[in-house]
Amino acid sequence: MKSYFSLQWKRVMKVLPFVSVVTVVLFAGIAVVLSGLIIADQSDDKNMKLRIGVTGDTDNSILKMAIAAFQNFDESRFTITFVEMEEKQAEKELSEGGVTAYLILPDDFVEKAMRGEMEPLYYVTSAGATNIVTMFKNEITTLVTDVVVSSQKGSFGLQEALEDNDIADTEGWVDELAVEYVSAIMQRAKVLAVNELQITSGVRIANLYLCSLTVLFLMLLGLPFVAVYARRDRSLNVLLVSRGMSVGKQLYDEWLPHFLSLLGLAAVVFVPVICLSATSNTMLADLLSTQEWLRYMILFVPVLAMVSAFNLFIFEVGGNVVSATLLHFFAALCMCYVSGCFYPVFTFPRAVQAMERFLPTGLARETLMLSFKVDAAFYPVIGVVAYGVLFFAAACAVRTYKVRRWEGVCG
Amino acid sequence: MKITIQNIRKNYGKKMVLKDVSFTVESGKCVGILGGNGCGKSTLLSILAGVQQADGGAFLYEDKNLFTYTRQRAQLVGYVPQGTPLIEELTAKDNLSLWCSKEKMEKELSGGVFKLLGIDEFLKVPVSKMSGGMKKRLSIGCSIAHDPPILLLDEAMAALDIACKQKIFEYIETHKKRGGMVLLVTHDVMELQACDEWYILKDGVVHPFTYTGDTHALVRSF
Repeated sequence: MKSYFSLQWKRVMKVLPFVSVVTVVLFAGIAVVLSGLIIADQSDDKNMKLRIGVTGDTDNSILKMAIAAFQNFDESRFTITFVEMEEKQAEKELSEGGVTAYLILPDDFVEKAMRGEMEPLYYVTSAGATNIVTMFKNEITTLVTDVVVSSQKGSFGLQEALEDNDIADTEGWVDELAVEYVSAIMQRAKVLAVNELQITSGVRIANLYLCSLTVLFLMLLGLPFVAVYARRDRSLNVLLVSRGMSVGKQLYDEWLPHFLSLLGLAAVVFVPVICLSATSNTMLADLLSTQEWLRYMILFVPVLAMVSAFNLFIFEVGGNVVSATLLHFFAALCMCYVSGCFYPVFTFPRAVQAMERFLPTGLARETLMLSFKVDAAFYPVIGVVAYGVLFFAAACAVRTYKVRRWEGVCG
Repeated sequence: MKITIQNIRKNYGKKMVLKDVSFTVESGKCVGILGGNGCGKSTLLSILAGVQQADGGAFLYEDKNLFTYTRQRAQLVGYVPQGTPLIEELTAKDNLSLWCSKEKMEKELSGGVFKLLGIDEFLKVPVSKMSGGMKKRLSIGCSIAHDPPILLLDEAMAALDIACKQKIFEYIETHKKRGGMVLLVTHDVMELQACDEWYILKDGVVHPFTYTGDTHALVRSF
C-alpha cells in the first residue's frame, strides 16, 4: 500500500517538466530585469549627466572659459554638460527630453555684468509637479546662476580693477581667480547628493533588487502547480477523512512534495548562478560573494516553506484552476507590490510603508537580506515561519469547511 | 450481524436537517434511502462515514457505537461519495495502490472484486483519460478495497450506462451474499430494484416504504 505522500510526489513529478520550463522562463525574465536594474543603477551612479542647453549671447570668450571651468571642475556626483545651441533647437530638445533645461543668456550679458548690472539668466525647463526632480532642478538653477553670474562678476571686477590701476595681468591672475571662483562655488554641488532614505535597509541597492526580485520569483514559482493542486471535487478528501486520514495529514502530504519540488527548482536555477559567481569575474561576483550566496540559499528554505504553504492556502481557497490561478497571480503580485518588490517602498504612503514589514513578502525579503548583514536580528525568519504555519492552518480550515460542505450541499 | 442507526440528529445552524433518523440494516441486506434534493440523504451517509459529526444519536455495529470507535469505523465502512475520489494524473493502478497492498490488488484483479468491476480492463489508463463509467467503477474499487462489511453508496450509479450499472449491481449482490450490508442513496428507480428495504427521508425523519414498481406512488410519498 502506497502512502498518500508518495502518490502526491508522483503527481508532482509528472508535471515537473512543464513546471521546469515555466520556471526557467520566469527566472530568465526576472534575471534580465535584475541585470537591467543593476546596470541602470551603476550607470546612474557613474555616468549620469544633466544636459543643459545654453542659448543667447555666448560669444564672449571669458564666458566660454567660465562654462568650460564649470564642467571641468565639477566635484559633485552628477556632472553637468552645457551644450551651446539655438533657442528653437533647445526648445525642441527640451520637449523631446534631449536636454534637462536650457539657459538663455541675455544680449551683452558679460558687458552688463562687467558694469555691475544684474541681468538675470533665464532657466527654461519643462513643467512638473513639486517633487524631488523639481527640487533638483531648482537647485541646479541656483547653482548655475551663482556659478556663471558670480564668477563672471568676480573675474571681470578684478580685471577692471587691474586695468584702472594700470597693472598688467602678465601672470594670468584673473583667469586663475576665475577658476578658483568656479571651484569654490562648485562646492555647493554637494547639496545635490541624493539621500536614499533607508531604502536599502543597510544593504546595497543591487542586493535589495536581488532580494525583491527573488521574492517575486518565488511567489510566482507556484503558479504552474495550480493545475495539480486546485480541485473542485472534494470526494477524494472526503474518502480519506472517512478512512481516518485527517485533513491536516492530507495537507502535510501535499505540502511536502510541493515544498521539495520548489526547493529543487530553486536549486536548479540558482546553483548555476552561484557556480558562475564563484568562478567568473562578472557582475554576479560583484553582487554577492560565494559565502553570501550560500547564506542566501540557506535562507531560501524557510522562505520557500512559507511560500509553499501560501500556495496551498490559495489553491484551497481558489477551488478550481481558473479561480486559483487568478487568485494566486493577483495575491502574489499585490503582496510583492505593497512590499516594495517593484518600487522602493519609500515612494508609498506611510501607512503602506508600515504594513510592508508585516506582510509575508516583506518578511521574506527581509529574511533574504540577512545574507548580507552581520549581527542582524533574526526576527524576519521567525515571522516567515509563523506565516508558514498560519497559511498551513488556514488551508486546513478551508479544506475542513469544504469537505464538510461537499456532502452537506449534495444531500 | 447488523447495523443500527439510532436517533441521529444534525443541524446546520438553525436548520434541522436530520431530526431523528433511526433504522436497521440486517446482514446481507441492501437498504435504499430516497428523498427530494437537499433532504439530508448525503448528510446522513457522510455522518455514518465519519466525514461530519452528528449532533446526537448512535451508529451501532455489534453493540459498539462506531461514532466513538473511529478507527474501527474506518475499517468497517466503505464509503463511495459523490464525485470521483481519484487522483486524475495517475493510473487506475496507482489509485488503487493508495487503498490496498500490491498482493491484495493482484488477488482482486485476478478474480476478485476488481475483476468483477472490470477494473482490470483499464488498469494502466490515467484517470484523466477514463470515461465516467470507468471512473465510477474505479471509485467503488478504491472505496471497498479494504473489504468492509458496511457499504455506503451515495448516488454511486448516477449518469452511468446500463452495462456499468449492471457490473455494480453484480458487485452489490456478491457483497450481500458474503453477509455485507449496503446503504444506498439514490434517485434512480432502477437502483431501487437492487434494494431489499426502502426508506424515504422527509423533514428530517425516515419513513419506511415498500417499492412495488409503482413510480407514481413513490413520487406521491415524497
